[in-house]
Amino acid sequence: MSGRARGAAITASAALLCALAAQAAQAQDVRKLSTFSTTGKIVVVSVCGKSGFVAGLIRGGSIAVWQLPSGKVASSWKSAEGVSSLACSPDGKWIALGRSDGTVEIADIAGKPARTLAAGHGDVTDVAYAPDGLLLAVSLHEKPVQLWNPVNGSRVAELETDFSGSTGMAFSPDSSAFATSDADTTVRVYDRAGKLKAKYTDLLLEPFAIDFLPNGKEILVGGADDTLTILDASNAHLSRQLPKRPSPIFGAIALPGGHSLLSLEIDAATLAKFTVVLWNLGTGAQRELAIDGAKIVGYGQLSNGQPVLFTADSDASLSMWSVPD
Amino acid sequence: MGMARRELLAKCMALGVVASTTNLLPSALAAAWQQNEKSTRTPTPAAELGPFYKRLAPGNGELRAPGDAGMPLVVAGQVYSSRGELIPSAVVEIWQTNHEGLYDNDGYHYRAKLITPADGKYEFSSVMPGHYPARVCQHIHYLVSAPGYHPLVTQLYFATDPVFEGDPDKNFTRDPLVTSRELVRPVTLVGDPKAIHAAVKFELVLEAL
Repeated sequence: MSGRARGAAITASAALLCALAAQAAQAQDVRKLSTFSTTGKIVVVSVCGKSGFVAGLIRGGSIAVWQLPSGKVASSWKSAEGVSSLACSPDGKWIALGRSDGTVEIADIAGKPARTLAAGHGDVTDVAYAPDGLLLAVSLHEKPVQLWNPVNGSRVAELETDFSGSTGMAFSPDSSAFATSDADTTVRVYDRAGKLKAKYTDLLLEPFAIDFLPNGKEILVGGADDTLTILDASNAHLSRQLPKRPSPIFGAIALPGGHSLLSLEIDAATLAKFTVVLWNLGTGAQRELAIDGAKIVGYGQLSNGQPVLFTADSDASLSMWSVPD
Repeated sequence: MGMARRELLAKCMALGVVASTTNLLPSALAAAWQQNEKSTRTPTPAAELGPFYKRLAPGNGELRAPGDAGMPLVVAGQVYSSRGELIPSAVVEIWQTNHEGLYDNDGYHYRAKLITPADGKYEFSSVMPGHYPARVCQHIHYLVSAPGYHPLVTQLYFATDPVFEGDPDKNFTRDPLVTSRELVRPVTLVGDPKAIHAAVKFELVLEAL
């Protein structure tokens, strides 16, 4: 290779490296991927595993299912009154709708009701499918969580708290374990039959959010103590705590790569402004992400594994943001 | 009403509609019934725990520090069972915002864990809580527990809260978290005009397991 050719090759290589570096830098930044129009304000969305759908509950009781990432409406229907929570099954075939009368309706993705679960009295504040789709967690206002079989409609277990209910719940990636962050300041870990395996009782303030790390061996907890706490999932012993933040953490998400976390924080003085913080799990380094919107309403992954957050905007629209992993 | 009920019981017994297996006279039986009815208490309505409960609060009922801003407040009451029995050794945990509507999550200001003596009484001095963001009413949180009883999670509200515009009967639902009118208690201003404070009586009734 001549000197000129070598020089050209070096220049080309340098340009390629620069381009790759720029691409990598872009990949590390949060980006708004798309904004979907909705018929009203979004209450909550649930990403249907990697099936390519996201389901949303719209204020007033309408349900919509959008294709990802296009935002094309796959189906929509008006539900009966009193829907307060929603979860989509990982295979994208079923929607569980929690109601204010203590029931959970399971409908197909087109809105055709399949069965109703009578969980109790009061508002069903949250519902969540296990990754294998064979368990459904149901959280009732101020009451312990219940585990249900969504296929045959039978109750598997009613879990426990010392008082009040649960503030967060998460299944392990392999669906073998389930964990709750409870208002009695305890984190409890159960097997899939609902048998209590371990609990962590050293928190002073309420935990608000919980997630399993992708390896299934550790649990991430965030709460009113402004801190992300990481527990050993096998015995609920403390592994470590990340540096304290200035605000309560109401959302804690372990990103799929296993190296990063997201904390969703809210200003305690105003309860209005939220902040999304990206954490490096290894170093504890943290960075606030530039995500705007009125409210964070959901999290999930696209079919290609890209983690995304959803925000409800002040107008009738839903925005999807890619977050670095 | 009481006499009418007693007379009704006596007439029913005379007619054989009600039979007594005791040797008590109808009048004594009716009096015992009345006494029992009087002592029965309705369990205190539950309300949301709220986001900032904190364990291990100190056992000091003096929540107000010298110089704290806000209307001084004294809250007192007794802890009963729904059968009207006083409950000793009940644990009454309370937490509230300061005058400006802020919780102390780093420390324990305006938080306490009180244990009732034999007469079931509790009392604490504080300030009237401020209006917390995104919450309509001034409130004080309670978690009350005792062996053999369901834990009670509830909140105390104040009839003087401007939100009620002087008519809590009509306006208590302005805060969707106020689950019962019973939780909105009257406020009395007491003490020397130079050192006036608000006083509230709030009885707590637990249900047996």
